[in-house]
Amino acid sequence: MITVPEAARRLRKNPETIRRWIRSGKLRSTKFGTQHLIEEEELDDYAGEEPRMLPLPPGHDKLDDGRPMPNVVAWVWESRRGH
Amino acid sequence: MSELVLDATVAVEAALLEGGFDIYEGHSLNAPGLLWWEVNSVLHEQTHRGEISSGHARDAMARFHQQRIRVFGPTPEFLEATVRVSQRLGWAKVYDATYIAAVLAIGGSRLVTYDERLRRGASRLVPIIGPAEL
Repeated sequence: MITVPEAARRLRKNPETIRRWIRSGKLRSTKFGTQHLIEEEELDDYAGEEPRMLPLPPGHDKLDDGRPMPNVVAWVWESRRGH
Repeated sequence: MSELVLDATVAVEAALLEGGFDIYEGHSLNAPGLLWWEVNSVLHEQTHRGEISSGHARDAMARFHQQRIRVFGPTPEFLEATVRVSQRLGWAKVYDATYIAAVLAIGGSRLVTYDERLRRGASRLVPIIGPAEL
């Protein structure tokens, strides 16, 4: 988990902007004492960061119909998010 | 033969390809029961969204079912272990922690995933590799 200043640095936002998002419920956090901590997963989702895939083995870069192998990490993250 | 735990990213990817699981030959495969639900859910969702055809999803599920994978069931002890992993890593959810708990339960095993963030975040607890490193 990361602090508000660290989240602000990663998203290139003002720390106060991050706190405002937390207060408004747009960004989820966990409070430890007076400090808000944010899960890295939550921040990545919020920042719209593309889930990154480790390299494919040889011969796995294309589906059988010739289309490129989809980003299966994005598929799994998406599946865990909602219904 | 080495012990591997497969997560949903690698299982879905391998299932999408004819012969996709061949790279795991010679290894002993393991996974928590969650894997079956995740693969089923991902394939259904991507069919629903039009990313893959229903025939492709059916073939993928059939390939997945053909694999010999040892299942970790939801025993109270195993579920507690998943929560402990999440707590140690500071995660609110237990999806990824469930796969890591399976690795911890099998001495000398490794987690195989395509998820770069998972590897970055959990390599201090268990060995994590990508399929290309097998």
